[in-house]
Amino acid sequence: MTIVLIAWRNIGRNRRRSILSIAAVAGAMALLVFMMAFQKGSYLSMINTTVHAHSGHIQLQRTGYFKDGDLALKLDNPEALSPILRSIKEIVAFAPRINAPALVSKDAKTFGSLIWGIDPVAEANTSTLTKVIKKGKYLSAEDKTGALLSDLLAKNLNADIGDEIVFIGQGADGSMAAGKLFVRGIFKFGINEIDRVVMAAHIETIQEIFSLQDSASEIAVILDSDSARPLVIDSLKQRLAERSFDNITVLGWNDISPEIEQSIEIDWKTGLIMYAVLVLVVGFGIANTFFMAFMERIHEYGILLSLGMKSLTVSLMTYIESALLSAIGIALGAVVGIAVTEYFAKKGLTIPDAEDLFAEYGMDPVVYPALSAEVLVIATAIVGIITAAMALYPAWKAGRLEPVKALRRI
Amino acid sequence: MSLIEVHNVIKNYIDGKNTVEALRGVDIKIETGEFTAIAGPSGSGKTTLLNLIGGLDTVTSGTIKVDDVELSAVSIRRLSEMRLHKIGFVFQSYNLMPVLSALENVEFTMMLQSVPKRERTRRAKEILDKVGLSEHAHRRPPALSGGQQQRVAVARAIVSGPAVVLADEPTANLDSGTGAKLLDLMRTLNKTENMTFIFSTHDPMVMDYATRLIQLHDGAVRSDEMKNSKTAG
Repeated sequence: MTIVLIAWRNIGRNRRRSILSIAAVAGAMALLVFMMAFQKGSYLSMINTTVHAHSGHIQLQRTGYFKDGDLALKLDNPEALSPILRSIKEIVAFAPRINAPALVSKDAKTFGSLIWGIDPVAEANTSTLTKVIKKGKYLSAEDKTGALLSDLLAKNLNADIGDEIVFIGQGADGSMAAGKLFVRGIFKFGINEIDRVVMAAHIETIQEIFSLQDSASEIAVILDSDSARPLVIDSLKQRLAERSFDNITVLGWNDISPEIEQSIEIDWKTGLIMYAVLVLVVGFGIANTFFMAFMERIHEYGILLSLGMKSLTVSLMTYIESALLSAIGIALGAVVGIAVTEYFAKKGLTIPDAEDLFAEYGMDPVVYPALSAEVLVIATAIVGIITAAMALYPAWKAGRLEPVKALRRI
Repeated sequence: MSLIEVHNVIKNYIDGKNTVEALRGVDIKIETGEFTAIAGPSGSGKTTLLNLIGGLDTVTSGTIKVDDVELSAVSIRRLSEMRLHKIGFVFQSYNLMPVLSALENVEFTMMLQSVPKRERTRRAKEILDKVGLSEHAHRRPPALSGGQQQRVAVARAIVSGPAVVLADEPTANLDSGTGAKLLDLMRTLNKTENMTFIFSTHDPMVMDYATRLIQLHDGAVRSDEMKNSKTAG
């Protein structure tokens, strides 16, 4: 028989109040687990949209290209990297690309543009470009004269399907690069930086015009899961070094688009503050039940003190009782939270009235909550710390009771 | 040296703007093995005096020594230890822990004293047998009658061999037959174990059992007499 046992049995005395306390803690915990997992799932969806729009999970580039954007800093013979990429099981697709700055014109209108040289077949497996064609059609494997125009660029040029687009830029060797293409399709990613300036064409055409024979600006790599990214980056670096591929840099999407990682981080931290405030509000309700339990038992604390129990032990026993209620609530809440989250992780949760909007941008309107150990640990910490803090006051009061005054309370 | 020495004790309570004089210069000495009743009408200061002797409350002035320890001179922590090791309490309303069985209630004080589990269970069973409750050892207080609960309270008070047992109107909630049995039990323990008992009471039957009767009136000792006990146990 210990004070833990007494505290445990005390929980069973006023079952309704204990159940309410446990339910409040469990509800907060379950809600937190689900909401945090939902948030994590929405980040994954955002990352997926980004990596599938253009960047890929990983890119291979010539060292210095990312910083300077110089067309001359190219990957020579990218096909030679294919065996390395195919040897890593987490890599599900990859595609070479050229990013060539140019001026594009139709009739009297000229705009600055970025021309993507793409392999239509490899690109179809790597990005969602095929899914965001709003008008016309995607490029066929043999189409060396066709072009895909981004939505805003097409509007600015007043270009439509079949129109002729001429472009002029500078080749990798410093020579003038100029050509003409015919609009086959118009696409819209919903990403302003792309939709304003990009024109995509067959990689072989762009290689030839921009003096980039058998070269590429980058290779975009898609993985089976973003969680594998750090491991695959390490593995790629190691294998490239083993095969003496010098001057090749391996970048993650977070290196290419750090603003997305930062916005996720800010959103996550803001969310944590919001969750803590939410649990704090629930915590005051829980504190009330803890305090009621203390008030109802003042006479008993008087008995314990009169029998010679130390004030600190009385405090500890009161605290243990509250802590046990919280622990049961947290465990129960975790089970419920995990079950609900797992259900929606399989089934998905459609954001109401947003299907069309998401579809327009090639995004999946269904968010799949992503449960992780991190979510469980943080949710447990938030609920645990706040309920533990709420239990301090009655415990402190119990330790300050005077035996005679406490015994008089019935 | 007496077991308990109460010297010129004054105890005042503040009630709003008024000061209530609960005890007004009480002087008493109680020796080991006495079976003393402190009697008097309601408000005479009986319970206050017991609380002060038990270290549950503090004097306004004067001194109280229990086993040569002056209570007003020790820390709260030391007072707790005094209550734990030197003093046993029996309350009018039993005051058992409702979540503990009779056996566990008796064990409780020994648990606070860090007596090993096996030893305290053995002693608790022995005492419960002595007070005639071994069959009810595993029942919790709500499943026991008033008389049985008070016997558990007595068992809890005496199990660790305190220097003195303080009983605040122990028979007040019991019928006369049950009260008499309880007094018989305590008188027997007093005689066989040489255990000191001090009661507060206004019950004539309890006064009859006492070997010493101290009468309080308006916070002062009106009379203090040694007498023959009604029952030898």
